Amino acid sequence: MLRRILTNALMWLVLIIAVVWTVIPVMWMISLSFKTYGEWRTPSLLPRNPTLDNYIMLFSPQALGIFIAYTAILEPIVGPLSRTLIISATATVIAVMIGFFTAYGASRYNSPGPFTLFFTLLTRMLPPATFVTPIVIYFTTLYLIDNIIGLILLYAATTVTYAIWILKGFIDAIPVEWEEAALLEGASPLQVLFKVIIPIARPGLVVAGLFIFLMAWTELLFALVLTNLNVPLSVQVSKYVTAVGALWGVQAAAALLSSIIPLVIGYLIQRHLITGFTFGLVRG
Amino acid sequence: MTFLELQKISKTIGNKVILHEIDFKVGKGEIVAIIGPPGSGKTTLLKIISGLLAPTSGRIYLEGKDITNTPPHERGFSMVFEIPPVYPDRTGYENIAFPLRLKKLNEDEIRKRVLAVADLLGIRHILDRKPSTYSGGEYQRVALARALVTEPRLLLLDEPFRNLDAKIREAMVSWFKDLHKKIGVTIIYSTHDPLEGMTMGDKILVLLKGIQKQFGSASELLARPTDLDVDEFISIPALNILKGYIDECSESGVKLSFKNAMLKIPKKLLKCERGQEVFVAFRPHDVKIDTGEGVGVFKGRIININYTGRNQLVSLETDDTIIRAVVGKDVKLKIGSTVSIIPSIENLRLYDANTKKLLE
Amino acid sequence: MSSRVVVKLENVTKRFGDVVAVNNISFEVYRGELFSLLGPSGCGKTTTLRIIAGLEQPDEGRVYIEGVDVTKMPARERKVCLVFQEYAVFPHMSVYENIAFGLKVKKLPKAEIDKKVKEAAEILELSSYLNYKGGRLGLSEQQRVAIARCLVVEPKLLLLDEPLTLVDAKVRERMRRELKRIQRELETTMIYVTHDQLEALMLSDRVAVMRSGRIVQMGTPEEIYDNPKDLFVATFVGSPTMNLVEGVLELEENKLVLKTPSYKYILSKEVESNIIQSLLGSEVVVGFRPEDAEVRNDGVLEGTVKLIEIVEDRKILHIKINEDEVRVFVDLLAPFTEGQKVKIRINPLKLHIFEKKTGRKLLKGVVSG
Repeated sequence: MLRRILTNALMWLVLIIAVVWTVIPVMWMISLSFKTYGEWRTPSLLPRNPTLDNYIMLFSPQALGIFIAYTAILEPIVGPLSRTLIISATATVIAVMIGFFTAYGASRYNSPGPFTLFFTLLTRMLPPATFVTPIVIYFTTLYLIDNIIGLILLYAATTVTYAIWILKGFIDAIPVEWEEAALLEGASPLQVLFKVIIPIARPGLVVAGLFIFLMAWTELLFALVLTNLNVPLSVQVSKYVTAVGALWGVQAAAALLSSIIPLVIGYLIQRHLITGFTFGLVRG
Repeated sequence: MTFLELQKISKTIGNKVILHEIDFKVGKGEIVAIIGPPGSGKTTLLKIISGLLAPTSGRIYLEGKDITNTPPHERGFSMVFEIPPVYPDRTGYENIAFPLRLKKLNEDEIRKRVLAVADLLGIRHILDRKPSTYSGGEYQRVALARALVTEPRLLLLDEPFRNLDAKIREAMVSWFKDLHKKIGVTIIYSTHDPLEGMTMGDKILVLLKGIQKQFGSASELLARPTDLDVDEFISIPALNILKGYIDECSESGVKLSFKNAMLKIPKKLLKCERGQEVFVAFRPHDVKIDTGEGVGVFKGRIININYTGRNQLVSLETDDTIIRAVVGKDVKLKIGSTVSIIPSIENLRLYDANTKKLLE
Repeated sequence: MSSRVVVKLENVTKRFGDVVAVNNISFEVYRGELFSLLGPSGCGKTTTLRIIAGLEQPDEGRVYIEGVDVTKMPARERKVCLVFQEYAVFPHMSVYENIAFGLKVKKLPKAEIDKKVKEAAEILELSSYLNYKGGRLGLSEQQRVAIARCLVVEPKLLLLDEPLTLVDAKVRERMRRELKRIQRELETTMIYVTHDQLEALMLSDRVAVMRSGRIVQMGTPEEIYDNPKDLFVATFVGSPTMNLVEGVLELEENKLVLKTPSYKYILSKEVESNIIQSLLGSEVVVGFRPEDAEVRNDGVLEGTVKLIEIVEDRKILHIKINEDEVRVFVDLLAPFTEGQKVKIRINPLKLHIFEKKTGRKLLKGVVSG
């Protein structure tokens, strides 16, 4: 009996630590984004004089004169935000599309062979920093530096392997007989793909897409190196706190904004994740 | 009239023979049941008939026309697989309408045909629901509706009742026979259950290890199995097999001797040699038990009794083997007691011990 | 509590959200007996088994094993062993290692493990498979390994959850016989869950028929089959299913007559009116098993043969009588054809009469036997 109480107590302790560990920083960020300049460095959880100044600053850096020193280097957040939206969305579509067809081939025809498939994972085993330099040289010759197309291509290429592995699992679970039935009924191989496999594998496509979108959305290292004026959101967020000075409140506001959008997208597509995904044998 | 004919269909994958010279004819409107244990090549055979797999050798004719190389969708066949093609992402209606949509029929025509087939199978009330809400029987009916909505010339069913509860399976078999009478479509159907196959099929193909062992009606199979393997496979409960010798051959019959028993069969054999080693086979239903002092051929000690509702299945240990007998439930039997066993002479078959072929 | 009782469930209830999976169930299982929980999918039989195993916690009620209240005891301390429908064998281990697994966990000496494994393998006819990898085995061997694995740890109780559902017909038939024999020889107490009525009848010493989370009837296979308590048990147990005809009972010149809206059936020429008196005029369902009727020239019900099926050693005629259809056994070689007119006679001793509204059994047999 004593042992059971102890286990229970321990369980609660671990839970509490985990919650504190993850929730407090987020709460701090939210609170900070509503604080006035003078309060940024005070350790209070709630802002004393809540203000929207930090948010106004995000959209029109000129509006608040006191930070003139910084405003010269900061463009309104709308620019980076729309860039990141375009980059993440396009990279996601490309990666998921290529990933799906590769996964389908791998699952049904065992192409491109197990080793090649494994090899795609290999690219993700190297620390990204090791190929920053080659990419920079490469992109310079292709005029892709400070160009959103460069980031789109890079993100799609580095995340496609996740799409392949996630989708292969989903496609493997779809009985091959379901395709054969459609073939018998006169469907072409392309129709099988678009009318049978893709609709059934949709939850998989959504999972892979969401995962890749989030990776592209938050990527900082390559974005920092490969952009200069046309910066994406992640770089913009980092710019508010620099060696020159620290706009803590504004950065918190930017960070909040940049996490709200994936949150909204995630919420909107979550029903696709729970749609019935029961394969095979249904017992009466 | 021959509707479909298979001529020496063989299939090898690598150097493994999956099917060996399968050869049979199907009449229009017949049900052919392919029976065999798992791994005997049933699914492969169905896929070859459907066109999803090409045979290594042999030809298939449909109404006299060679269709061996005709692509699957031009054959006009439907197939229901062991994992029935009911897609989880769409309603029953959309599942059944799927093949019609592929044919680009107009929406009114599709609606008419889907509802007609749904009424026929009694599934109209579940058309708007997604498959995750279906019971096993409903799932199977939707799959069947989808296969029937195209009005196929031949319906192929791969173990259609395998994953159903026993009670639902029993109801489905009768229901299906009834349905077949209404629509008259030609059906080739596979099952691992010989009793189900013999109930369902007008003709039965016994497929063991890729070899066509016998093709005929259920009564033919039961009365004259071509060899011991067939007899053994189609008998549930398991067949009784005794090894013995022919002691005497004469016009009036055969005298057999066993380890501790003799048996005289009033049946004249075409070929009969003294001393020939034979297997004597009889089904548990063809055994009588005598609890008295008795005239039984074999003596056996009861080692097991399974009650089956209608009957009881008794296992008896004799000197050298175990004999199973199905006896009425009114007979009072006790485990451990010794009784006499009398196989029914008319329903007993002899097989050559070396070739396992039926001796006639 | 008598020491004969190995398991006792007392008013056990289990809910999943709004669904009551197990509804106030009580029963006892005796030492050395094979007790079956029989019912259709979703009747709560597997949940009941899992509660006994300790894999589920009941919301109400108590579970006792050998007199000890184990309701809150974790599964691994209960000394019961569970055989699942599938995935019970580790594919990467040999049969020997699979069977020895439970003993190695207990850190028994090697020699003892070896002895026990070989004994169990002998009983289940697995001796020649001991070096095979689990993944290479067929389903029937896998299930036998699963059972052997349970037997070696000498559990107080062996629980089996539809272990034969996935094996093919031939193997299933053999396993039914063997399981019964093994159980009797080892005198292990077993609780067996199945949806297959024949399996329950063939294996069990006692059966509990379940429906919608409740036990409808409990008794020996003979009691369940010969004397079903209500319409559900009557139709669920027995294959082919019991024939049923609905109507109102009447007596005409000492003949028992069943009146349906448009027809009148003579059920029996002989009837003892004192037995049937209280039922006359009430709405009933009359049932009889296919083997309790026969085709005879002097039969009292006339119909047309609609369908002939072969079932094991016999033929079943589906006979259409007006709007109703009944099934009757005939000899395998009997020369009947579809469309033929036949007359049947029902054994008056074997007529089951149920109340239409509740399905409750009112009477069996309209003459005294």
